[in-house]
Amino acid sequence: MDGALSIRSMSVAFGGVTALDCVDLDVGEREIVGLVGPNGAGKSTLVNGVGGQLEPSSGSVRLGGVRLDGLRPFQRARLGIGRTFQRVAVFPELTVREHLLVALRALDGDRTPWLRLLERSRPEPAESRRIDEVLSLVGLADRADALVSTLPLGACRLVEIGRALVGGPSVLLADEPSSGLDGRESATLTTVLHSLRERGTAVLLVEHDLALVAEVSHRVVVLDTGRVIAEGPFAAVMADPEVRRAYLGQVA
Amino acid sequence: MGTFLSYAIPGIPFGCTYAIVAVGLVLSYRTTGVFNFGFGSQAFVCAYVYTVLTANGVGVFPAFVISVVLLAPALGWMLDRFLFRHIDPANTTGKLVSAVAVFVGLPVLVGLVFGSATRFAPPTLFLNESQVYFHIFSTPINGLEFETVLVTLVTVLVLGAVLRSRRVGLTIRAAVESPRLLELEGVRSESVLSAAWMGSSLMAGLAGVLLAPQYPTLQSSDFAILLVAALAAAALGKLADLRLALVGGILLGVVDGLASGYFPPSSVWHTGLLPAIPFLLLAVLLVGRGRLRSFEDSGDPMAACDPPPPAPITATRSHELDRVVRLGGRVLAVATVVSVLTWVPGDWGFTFTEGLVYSIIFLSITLVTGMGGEVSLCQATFAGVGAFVAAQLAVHHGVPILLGAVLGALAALVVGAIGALPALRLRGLPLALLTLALALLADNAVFPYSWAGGPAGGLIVPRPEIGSVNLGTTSSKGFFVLALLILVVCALGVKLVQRATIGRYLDALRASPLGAEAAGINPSTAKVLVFGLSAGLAGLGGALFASLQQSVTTADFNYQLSLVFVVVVVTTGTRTVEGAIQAGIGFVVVQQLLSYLPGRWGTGGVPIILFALGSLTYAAHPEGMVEFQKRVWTERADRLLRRRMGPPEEMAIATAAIGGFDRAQGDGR
Repeated sequence: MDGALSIRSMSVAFGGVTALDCVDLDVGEREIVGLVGPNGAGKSTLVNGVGGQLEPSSGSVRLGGVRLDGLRPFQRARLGIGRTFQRVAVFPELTVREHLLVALRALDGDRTPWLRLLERSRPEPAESRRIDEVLSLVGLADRADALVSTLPLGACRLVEIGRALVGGPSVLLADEPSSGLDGRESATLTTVLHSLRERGTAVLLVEHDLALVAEVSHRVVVLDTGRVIAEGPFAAVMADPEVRRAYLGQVA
Repeated sequence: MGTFLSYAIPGIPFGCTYAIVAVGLVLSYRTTGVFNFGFGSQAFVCAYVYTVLTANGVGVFPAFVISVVLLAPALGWMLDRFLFRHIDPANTTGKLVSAVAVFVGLPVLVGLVFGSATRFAPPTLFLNESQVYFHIFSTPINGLEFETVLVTLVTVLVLGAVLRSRRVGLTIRAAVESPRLLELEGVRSESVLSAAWMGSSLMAGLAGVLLAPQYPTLQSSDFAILLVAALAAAALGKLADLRLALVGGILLGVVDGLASGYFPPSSVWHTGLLPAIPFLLLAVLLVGRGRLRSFEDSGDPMAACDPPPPAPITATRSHELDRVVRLGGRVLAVATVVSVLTWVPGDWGFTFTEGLVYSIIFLSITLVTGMGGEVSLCQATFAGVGAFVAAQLAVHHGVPILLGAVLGALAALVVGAIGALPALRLRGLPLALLTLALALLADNAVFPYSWAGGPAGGLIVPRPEIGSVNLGTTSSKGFFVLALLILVVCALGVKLVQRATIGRYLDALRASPLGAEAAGINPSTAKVLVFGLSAGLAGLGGALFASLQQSVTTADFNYQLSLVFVVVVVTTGTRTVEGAIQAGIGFVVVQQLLSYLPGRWGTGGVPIILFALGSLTYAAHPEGMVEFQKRVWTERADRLLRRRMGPPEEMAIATAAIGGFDRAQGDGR
């Protein structure tokens, strides 16, 4: 029961195709774990299985000792799973600040939906402080009141990260946060991930950009055709011949 | 066993009529990607033309050629060319609303063109209707039944072969998935889709001409009910399998035959359950069948190339102009109210009061469609619940009508919230179909009872009395003021909800259910809340409507009205409270204005056609026609002002920026 997130023998099958085959994976407290692997290895499937977006065929997920199995995505979010999506899932009609406010209040639980009905959607001072804190963490403080539909993709990814972080999650699932970003946007992302590392936020980072993974993660897990084929420190894992064959062989 | 077969076999040809429509639906859905509500109306148009031709001495064969071989494909071509081609394949709501508009508008158009004379059943195609050809298990099969079965089977076989063929079938399915991607392969997807539309419309025509002789007179409502019944059969085939749709249709016919055989004609089951069987089945299939839940259209793979949707109008409008527009709106509203209270004649006063009451009902669509992002096809049913509860309480228990209206609204709220429960995991098209099934269930199995919808002649509903003032007898202006007050309260309530946290939750859920749920928003609570509130508003409006009319019958709240409501509100705009009020007033004012026209133009048909045409613009301007025009005109005015007041370039940019900032700062929506 050590660590933030522990996945035990998770399997996912789509029809006859086995996307994940008995995967074990742990993310410790204050640890950033890079999850890498070639396309179709099952990385996003794993993240969706943890986030509740799909129901695994078997296996279990615990967050700080609490079983998440069978819970719906919003329930998992309230228990401390924050996540971003490979294809950004933002709300174009809301401003950046409203994104964070919505998440902050929703994560509070909906014990009082009837009160929410007439509650003004303007942040309380305490909420404002928290939102500003997260906004400056993800570097969006100067664009807090912009409509998200007016922001470039890179900023949208940061909005997603901010939305996931605002409730203070036990673990952040970041699904390919760097895809589609230009150089400058990637640099901002790297800074954000570095500050997460300093603050001790547990992160499961699914990423194609190996340089980014090497730079920010404590540990790397390699997935290939639904199995974990290696895990450990970045340099050691990349030296593994099986990893080179399965993963780097395709890249090179 | 003998009894069983004697009940079951006559159901088979009847089931074949379900099957034809079901197969046609599946075919048009699979080939065009549009769930074509209009199918029933297309069938009706062709059947109507066939009937008119044969009644005027044209032979059966030439009439068939004109109405089915020529007219039906032409109709399909037009629908594609002028309507559905312009809708983005991923725009589920746009396609749905446009199809509903076709469904509502076409029969009215036919009535306008040909007049409303009763048309009797046309002759059959090639077999003698009354001759018994043979017996199956001693059940006689006549020419009409035999012909229906034959044509159904041949049609399904031919179609199945075409769709399965590599060349044609594959190309059509690719064009449905992503026309743009298919173009990259060097195929003109436009002509492929055109052909598919013409083919499916031909099916509709064929179905229509086969169906028409089965009813004593030709009525569009028969085709509409049949279409919806066939939905259940199509749902059995998961909207994809022609053979299952065929089997489903026939099974439904058999079940109907058995049920009407075994339940004694006078029993509750016969009158209540029997007509509701297809709708019950549809509801059960929608909720129960796993894959149907996800038959929502897959996104176009090329969608990533699209530019993002335009920012909401308030974001692009400058602050001063915003204020001017609002002020103008208020001045107009006050002027109207003062006019009605002073110099406007009584019938127009009544019209405006009716408009206010409709506005209350239409606000329910602002909630469920504008905020909840779902198309509901049972808002008239919720209004009916409110009206009947209020009316029954007033008639049988002497409850004051205003208190009854509140209780009716609460009853509708509960019905709406409970109705949302099975729909929790549904979105888009399946959800809309479920609401339609709900509306039809109420129409057929609940409202006809005298404890619900009242006796055949309807219920007499009193006008409200406040203190010693009876708003019915002294002056109808009193009712106008009352309706206005209630509308203002409701409108403010909706605005509050829009600006409240829950409104933001709904914005989030509408934009990205995936992202919203990952952010911790419970979609189920939000859906139950929005459906419940919306139903409550509709119920309140319905009760006021009954009191205004001083009577209420089941016909006041049938499912077709729900479709009309959606079409009307979508025309003006579902996103704003103003849109609902404009829809309410516009709906009745247009009707009243047109009633001055002579003959058939003065009847209720023309406004419905106007609004159907209006709602066809929904796909292009989801914010609504009125909102769109507002945007165009304010932008124009904006430019004009800038040109007078300062250097255009920088100012325009600055204005856009300030506009966005204002939107973010203020509560401006």
